[in-house]
Amino acid sequence: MMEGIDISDVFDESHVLLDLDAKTQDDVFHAVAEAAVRNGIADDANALYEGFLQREQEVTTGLMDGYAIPHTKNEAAKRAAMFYVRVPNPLPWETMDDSEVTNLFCLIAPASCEGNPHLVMLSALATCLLEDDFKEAVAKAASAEELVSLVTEHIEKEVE
Amino acid sequence: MKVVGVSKCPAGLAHTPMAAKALMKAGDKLGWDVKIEQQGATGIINKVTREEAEAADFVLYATDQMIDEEERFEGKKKIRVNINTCIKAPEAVLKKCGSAVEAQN
Amino acid sequence: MKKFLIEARGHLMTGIGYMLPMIIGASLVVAIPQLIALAMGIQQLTPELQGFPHFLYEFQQVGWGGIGLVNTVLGGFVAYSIANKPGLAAGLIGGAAATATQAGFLGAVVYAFIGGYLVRWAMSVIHVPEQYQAVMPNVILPLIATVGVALVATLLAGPLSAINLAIIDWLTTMCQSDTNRIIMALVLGGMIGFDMGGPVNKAAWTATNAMMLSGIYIPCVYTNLAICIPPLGYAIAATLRKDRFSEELRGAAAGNWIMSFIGITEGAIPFTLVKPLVLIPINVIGSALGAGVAAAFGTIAEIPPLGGWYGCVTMINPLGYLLGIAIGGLFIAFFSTLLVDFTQDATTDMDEDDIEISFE
Repeated sequence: MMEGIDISDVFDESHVLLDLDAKTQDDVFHAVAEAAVRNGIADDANALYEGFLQREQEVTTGLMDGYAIPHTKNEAAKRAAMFYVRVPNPLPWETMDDSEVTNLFCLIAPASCEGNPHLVMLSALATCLLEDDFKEAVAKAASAEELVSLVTEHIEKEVE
Repeated sequence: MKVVGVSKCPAGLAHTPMAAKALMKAGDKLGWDVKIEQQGATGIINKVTREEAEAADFVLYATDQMIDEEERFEGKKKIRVNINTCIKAPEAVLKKCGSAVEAQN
Repeated sequence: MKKFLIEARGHLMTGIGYMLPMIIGASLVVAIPQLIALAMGIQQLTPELQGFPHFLYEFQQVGWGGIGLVNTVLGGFVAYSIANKPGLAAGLIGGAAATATQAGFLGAVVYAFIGGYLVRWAMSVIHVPEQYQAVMPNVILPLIATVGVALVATLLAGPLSAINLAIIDWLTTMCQSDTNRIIMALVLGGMIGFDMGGPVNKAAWTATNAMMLSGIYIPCVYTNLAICIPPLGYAIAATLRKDRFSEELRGAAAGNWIMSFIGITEGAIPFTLVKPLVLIPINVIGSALGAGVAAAFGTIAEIPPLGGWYGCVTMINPLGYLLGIAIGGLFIAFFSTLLVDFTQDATTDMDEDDIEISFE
């Protein structure tokens, strides 16, 4: 399943936003949308932002233990990608255990993505978040490099 | 207990695979045979066949949406549960559905 | 509408979050010289004092200066939360106006919301040519927001200050009677214990902090104290009756001693989740009882009260404060271990009864 696919296509150090100064969901969505445009993943930051917001309004993407997984399937996205965001001040968020959110994986997928192999990796990341070990390790990771290798290792295990 | 089911969420990116995996893991833990199909952004993954559905005690819909190819499950007991609940407490969801089905029999 | 209210609460909480460290710092600067003065046999620090006491007086004035900034900082950061940097100016000015016109906490919040949303609205409707982009955040947005806030502050100062003063007056009267104080303590204590950091708890907490900002310090004493009770209860229980607790919860007990000491109710959550239907009533009664005991022993505050056990130094009759915490904690420790077996751990999975399923 993994032939010809490289996790660095969807996630690398430039997709890690540690210590993002965000006070609300909005701040995070804007920051990620802008980072995605900077990285050439999408051409319209506002459309991405709206996409995150809209998905969040349908049903919350808050999980447990301070994690959330905002995502958008978006016309503005040219390819699939994911971002990791950590905020120093926990964000108010509707979550399954009523915790506030400090760790976020933000997923971006193009609008038409039937059979897109990169989406397998986004899904794999989502299922990694069911594992307490993974969540603990990610929350503790001190650098972007450490995060990328951690995420890569777990996704590979998940996709085998 | 033998369970088949379908998970599906608005974007099909994150919650669909999470719920499917969480339920199947909980199934292993309970010693049940649980198979959950994902109807997500990349299409259908881990498809449940009509034969598998026939053999199951009940069908679990981990979604509040309409599901695709529902005719497979005709005549089966079908239970709908919120997808976030399936991620949060998969084992309790299975147990509760199991006892609800037994109570009906 | 519901969405707006949730958002609005978030902005209010952000504002309070920024304001709280300031008020805690300032309260300490007021409390420390007061305590030293009391130890020296001086009841009140006044400008006429000479020598070291005069220094204490000056030092305390700095603290009062900080407390005088609360509305300003609160207004500023509520608006900042709504509209980022361009909103900050309008919020700070609105907050200061609220202090000046005695519109208080209420005024600061109203002005900050108006200023913040004006900026957001202006950002969405005004578009300037590329080369003039820089004037938006630096000239146009502050202009619109502050002019708007100034207008509203001028028009609403009368009614808002009337409301504010009426509320203060009513609460002050209520705080003067022993019976009312005890009733208030029971209600606030119960609310704090009800959902440990949830909406009911935060409602009580926000209300008493709002009162504190208006110079009514007493209600805050009872919420501060009640906050320490649930974690203390489970810390005592898991320390004295180890056999009744799972290993995981025994591990959590150490953390609960600290959470009780510094005043974080959330510490009690993992314990309460083991059997919420039995334990929530116990938490409510324990917290209410503790706050009521302290009120009955005449624990009040004449300077802004601090939270946690050490908050007792800012109270009149600190012993009553500590006694209240201890009695509440012992109540929870005794009844929780009597009625609930904590050896099974229910923190990770939901109770089956809480799951909704529906047959097709």
